[in-house]
Amino acid sequence: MQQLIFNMKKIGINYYKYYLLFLILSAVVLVSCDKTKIQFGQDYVDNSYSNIILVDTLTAQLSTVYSDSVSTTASGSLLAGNYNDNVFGKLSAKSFFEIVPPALTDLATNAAFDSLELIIRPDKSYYGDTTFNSQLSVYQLSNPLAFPLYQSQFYNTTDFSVDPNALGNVNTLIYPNNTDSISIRLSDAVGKNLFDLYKTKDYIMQSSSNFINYFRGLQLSATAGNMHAIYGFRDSVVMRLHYHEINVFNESKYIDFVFYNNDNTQFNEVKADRSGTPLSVFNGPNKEVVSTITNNVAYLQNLTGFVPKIKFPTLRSLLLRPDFVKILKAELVIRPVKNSYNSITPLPPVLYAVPTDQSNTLGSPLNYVSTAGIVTTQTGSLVTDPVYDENTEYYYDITSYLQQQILISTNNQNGLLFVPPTPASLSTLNRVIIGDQKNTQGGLQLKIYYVSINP
Amino acid sequence: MYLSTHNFFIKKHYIFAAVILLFVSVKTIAQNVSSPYSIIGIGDIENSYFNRTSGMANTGIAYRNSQYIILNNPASLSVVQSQLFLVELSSRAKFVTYSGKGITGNLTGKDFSVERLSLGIRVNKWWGSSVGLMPFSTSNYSFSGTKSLQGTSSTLPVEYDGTGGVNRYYFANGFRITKNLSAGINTSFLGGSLIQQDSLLTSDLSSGLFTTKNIYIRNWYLEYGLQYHIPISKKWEADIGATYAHKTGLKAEYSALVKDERGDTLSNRVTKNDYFTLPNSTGFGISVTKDKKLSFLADYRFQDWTSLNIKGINYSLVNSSRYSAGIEYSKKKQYANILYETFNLQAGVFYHKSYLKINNEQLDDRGFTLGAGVNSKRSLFGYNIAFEYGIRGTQFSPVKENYTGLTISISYKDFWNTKGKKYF
Repeated sequence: MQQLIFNMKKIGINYYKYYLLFLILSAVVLVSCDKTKIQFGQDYVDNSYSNIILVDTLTAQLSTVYSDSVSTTASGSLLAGNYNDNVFGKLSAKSFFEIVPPALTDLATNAAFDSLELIIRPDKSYYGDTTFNSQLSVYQLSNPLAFPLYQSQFYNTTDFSVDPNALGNVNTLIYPNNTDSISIRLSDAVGKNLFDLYKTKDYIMQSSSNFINYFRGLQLSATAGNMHAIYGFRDSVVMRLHYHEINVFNESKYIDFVFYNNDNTQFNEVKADRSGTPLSVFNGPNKEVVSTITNNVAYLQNLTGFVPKIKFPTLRSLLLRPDFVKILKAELVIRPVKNSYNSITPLPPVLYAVPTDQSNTLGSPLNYVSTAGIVTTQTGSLVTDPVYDENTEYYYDITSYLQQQILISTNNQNGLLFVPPTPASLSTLNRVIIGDQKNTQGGLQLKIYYVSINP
Repeated sequence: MYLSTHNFFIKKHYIFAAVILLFVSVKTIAQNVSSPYSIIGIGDIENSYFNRTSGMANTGIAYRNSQYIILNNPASLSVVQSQLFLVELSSRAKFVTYSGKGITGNLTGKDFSVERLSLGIRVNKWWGSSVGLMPFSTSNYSFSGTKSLQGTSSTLPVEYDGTGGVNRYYFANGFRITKNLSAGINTSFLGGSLIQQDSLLTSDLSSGLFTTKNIYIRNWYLEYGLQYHIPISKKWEADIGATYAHKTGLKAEYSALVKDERGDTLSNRVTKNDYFTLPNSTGFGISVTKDKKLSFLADYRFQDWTSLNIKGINYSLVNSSRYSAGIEYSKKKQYANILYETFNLQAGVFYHKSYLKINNEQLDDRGFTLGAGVNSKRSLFGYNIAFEYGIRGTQFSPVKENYTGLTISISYKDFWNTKGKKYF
């Protein structure tokens, strides 16, 4: 018997070790991870402890920040035209720029002047009714485009005097979606003079600065009285001087004077006569006017100085809720007032939400960080509803912005400014009229989802 | 020399035991067969002992076996064979098909997990003892729901996931009081967590709120047992047994952890301290054996839940009763003066009215089992396999589960602490 037990033990202990190991390992391996979902149990869960709660009653205080002058230096776009906007007033835009001659070359002795023209191309931006002819005029500046002392900017209010006699005019229908060039025939006398200076390699033609001192620059504008539209043109303007050389045949040739902006002097003047419009309250110096004073709306037209601002003065009232833990998500929807926009006075396709403070200086626009970690600037993702005009809106995720703002315990004057990105903000007159939370014709919506945990 | 070798082996047992205990603890995390009803109460209360009686529908209040650890009634430990050191490890594979009122399509679930580890010894002539770990209850479910977005009339999607369970760490002792009367007490520490996670997402699914509610349950739990052996004739013998556990309040600490979608903790605290009460439980069993080969057994177990008055929306906990019967054939051989079992065959049936009453219908569970076991001739191992088929609920229940279980128990026997003289 003892012998038997000894034998069992000898064999058994080895088995025992490996068998158990095998059993344990197989138990671990065999357990798969998909648990079957059975739709039972909704009645038995206690949902009251943690929740997401939506608050859409907090104040988004809307105001219009007005600047009496907006820098338009080097906007990259030439604006010219006039438009009578029933809200923003009578707007007139003129562009100022310099051109310079090409490097000197030898012209044949028999080369003779033919004509001078200014070639401009629409950049597809427009503001107003484009079904009417426009009369564009080109003037020569009386003085060079020089910055005032200690300044390096020109503003929408800056003006330079011009030779009252236009160098040339054109009366044409401009198709803004068509970028075919438009030619404006300029004065033969001026052209002949420039040709002679070039042919003789005059000192004036030997450098850009010499030429600018002599020729100064050009102003492109629309004839006053034609109030139908303002157009944008590319800054790749060319003043083309045509001449011919007499060989066996007459050979037509040209010299291109090209757009010059190395000194950052190109700018657009945009003037507004707001008398008789709702915006006349803004005449005068910089000011910030809350929407309740301006009929529950705020205005956006950056080039004429109007930028809407939204503040969140009651944000910290969330902290008074005993169940409040944190802002989980915050959404801001901006709806333009119904019928306040159309194809003549279009909405800016992109609007940045830019943090600012009491001084209304611009910070960097709000970003959106995707779940994949990709950072993009929020554009407002404009949705237009041309049929009912009810769901046209800009949308912003302001979660992280409000998560920061709610921490500020001092009197918080921070807010968000809504501006198109540059250069569009300086080259287009696209505008928005935003209703505030009390405006029934479309307005602001602030939705804050917060984490609630039973206190 | 012989003695020291033994001590060495005994040490090894404990090392193995520790390793296995670790895995058994892991098991409660890895278990993943859905049990929808386990969202209610303390979870699914385990009715199986994962032992030699599993092939007889866990009928064994009056059962005793000198080669096995029988926890159905702690009094039975008094008959564990002298000088034996017993190790038993059980695992169960389960396959479930779900149907019923609320379920469309063919849903199934399966898992495999280690369920029990027991060590047992005969301490002296009148005292047998066992320690080990086995599940007391488990919680395991998963479903999608909605939660109202407060401040609106809309809802947000939410996923619920339940895991965890209460483990039983036991120390059971059986004592022979007279020649035929044994008494036992099983002192258990019940401890574990019932965990419910809900994942609440905002409508664009970009943000979310993840709440983990944990009910940490623990307390000592005592079960008492008696067995009386009745030799009827040379051929026939009988046993009767009874068990009792007194109403026990388990401490239940409720805590909640809330995180956001980035994993930042928003709140983590104990929300309440409460009790979950286990009711008075009684059991009666009878066993009749012929020629030490063929046994017939029957059990009745009862738990007095109704008096605890535990109610919720659409459910209440009510008295549970379990009826079971089993038959066992044990083929034995004689070595010297010892009866040695070579194999056994078992069968059993059960009917269980569970403690859950949902929509005024008491959930029941019924089925049958088949079992077989062999003792290796070449080693100290014994193997028992129990097959179980059962149906919980009816087609009128919210969920009806048709389940198949396979319990595999491995037992290892070794001699211990003989002090070099007390051989057979």
